[in-house]
Amino acid sequence: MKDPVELSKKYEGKIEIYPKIPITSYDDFSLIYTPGVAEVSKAIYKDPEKSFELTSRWNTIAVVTDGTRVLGLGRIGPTAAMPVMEGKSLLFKYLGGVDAIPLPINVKSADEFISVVKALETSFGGINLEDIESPKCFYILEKLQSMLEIPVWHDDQQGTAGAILAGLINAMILTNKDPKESKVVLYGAGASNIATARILAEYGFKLENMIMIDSKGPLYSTREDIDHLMLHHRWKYELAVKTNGYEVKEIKDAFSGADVVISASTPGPNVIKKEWVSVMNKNAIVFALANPIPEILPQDAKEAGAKIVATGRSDFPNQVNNSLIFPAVFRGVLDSRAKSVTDKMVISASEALAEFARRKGINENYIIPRMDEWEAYYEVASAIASKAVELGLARNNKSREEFREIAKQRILRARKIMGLVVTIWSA
Amino acid sequence: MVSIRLAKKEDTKNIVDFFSRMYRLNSEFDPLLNNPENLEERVSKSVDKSLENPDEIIVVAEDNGKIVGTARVIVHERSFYFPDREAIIEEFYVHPAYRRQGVGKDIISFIEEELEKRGIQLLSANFPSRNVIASSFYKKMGFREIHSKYVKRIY
Repeated sequence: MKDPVELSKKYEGKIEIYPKIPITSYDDFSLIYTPGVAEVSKAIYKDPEKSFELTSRWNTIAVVTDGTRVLGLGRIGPTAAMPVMEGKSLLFKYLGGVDAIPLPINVKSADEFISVVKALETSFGGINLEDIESPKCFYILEKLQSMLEIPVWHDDQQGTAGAILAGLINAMILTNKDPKESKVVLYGAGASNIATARILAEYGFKLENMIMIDSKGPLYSTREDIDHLMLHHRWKYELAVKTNGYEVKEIKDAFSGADVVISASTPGPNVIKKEWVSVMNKNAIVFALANPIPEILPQDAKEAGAKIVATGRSDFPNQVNNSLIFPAVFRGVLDSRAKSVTDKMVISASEALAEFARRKGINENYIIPRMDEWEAYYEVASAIASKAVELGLARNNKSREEFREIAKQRILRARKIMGLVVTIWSA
Repeated sequence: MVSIRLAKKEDTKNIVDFFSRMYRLNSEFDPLLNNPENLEERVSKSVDKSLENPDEIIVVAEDNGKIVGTARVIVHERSFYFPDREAIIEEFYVHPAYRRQGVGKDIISFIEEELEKRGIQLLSANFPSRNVIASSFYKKMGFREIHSKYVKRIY
């Protein structure tokens, strides 16, 4: 069946909930529910942290959206966003063994969004924010991260940035470039590129060596709309002030001598021109991540002189995809019962992914693992979990090896159960 | 190292750019503060006059010869109050890359010293009520509200 609407109609949605505790006799009811269940509630009342041991909270997250920027569809609202959130929840289970509840919410303002999610905190071990328009998504993420005692993650920001960094680490090794010395063009100033600038700076790239380009051209500290940005888009404003030490004002000048371009802009082809790539530094690295068509086709980028090209597509080499990051990140934060997820933890995820690819042997056409290299997920999960321990953010302190084994067992268990689903449905 | 000094004729171009940016920023706060099309031209004329008027002071912040901030105060008579003269900050703008580094504070200190030399005891600031960035800055500098201005468009 190739039709997604027919598929959704046939299965009537993508996920459902099944109990974990077997019921074999009438007496079981008094244990799983009243009166026995009161003992469990009392234990949690005395020590709320016990909710991570005695309920499913330890493995459950919410996938929350307000439907304001869904995939490439834009503002389609929470009801129409549900299929996407269900799909995401399925990926969480299949790739990370995480129980994810799709939760599109009908809210009007950022503050209303925040108060709804805050009220949900007690039921979940983590929050995955999804498909929220910019710049509201930055405000919501910052506020919730400061208010909640569980990890809050915005996949369009941190997941994409983490995958980009993973690929970039290996691309830099292959081309013998040094992060501290490299000039980076960020083409597009949406959620993922803004988060990427922040994560790259934390990793060791210099903000003054980056140039961010939006629909009006390069950002710089004296651009005509700078004060407008200060009032309406604080995050873009901060980057306008701190990046572009070259003070270049034209796109071609931004590309001139650049080592890396990371594009998260509009679907191409030819959004990024060959002539721009041709003025980049020797051994240029081009990440053209728009879907379905990259901003510049890999062949064109290579003809213009690029050494390594990555896209968001699985049918080209080097697919940079946040699906490599988010399931394992949540596996890791849930296994360590982390109180938050920080940029340092994202970087450890990127490093683990990059190292996994290096062990297999990196080359121009393989800088990042593919989505079906399952062992990569255990590596990323254990890297995240042990980083949480190192940063003092974990409630569960274990070694990296222990976390790797736990992640592996839980992901394999999920895949085994999904295997049963296949058997049942095909019977 | 940023230093503050009185403006000179050759600073005019930068001052006009900065003041114009400030007036455009003001227009973001309130539709009653819309700018005319020839804003720069008007600001330029007014800055030229200011530089010759002893009752107006323009100061600039400079970093290695580059203007990175500027402000203008205009001295007014207060016929019914004492002290009888008050300087009002009408424009204040710091280059975005130099914000949150104490440049604004240094500009205010320089203005205060300059007014003291001239025997002026009162300094106030004029800015859109809805500009919370400005109101928090002036509060931090020790200013407080004294008058309110209510505006109504008649037609």
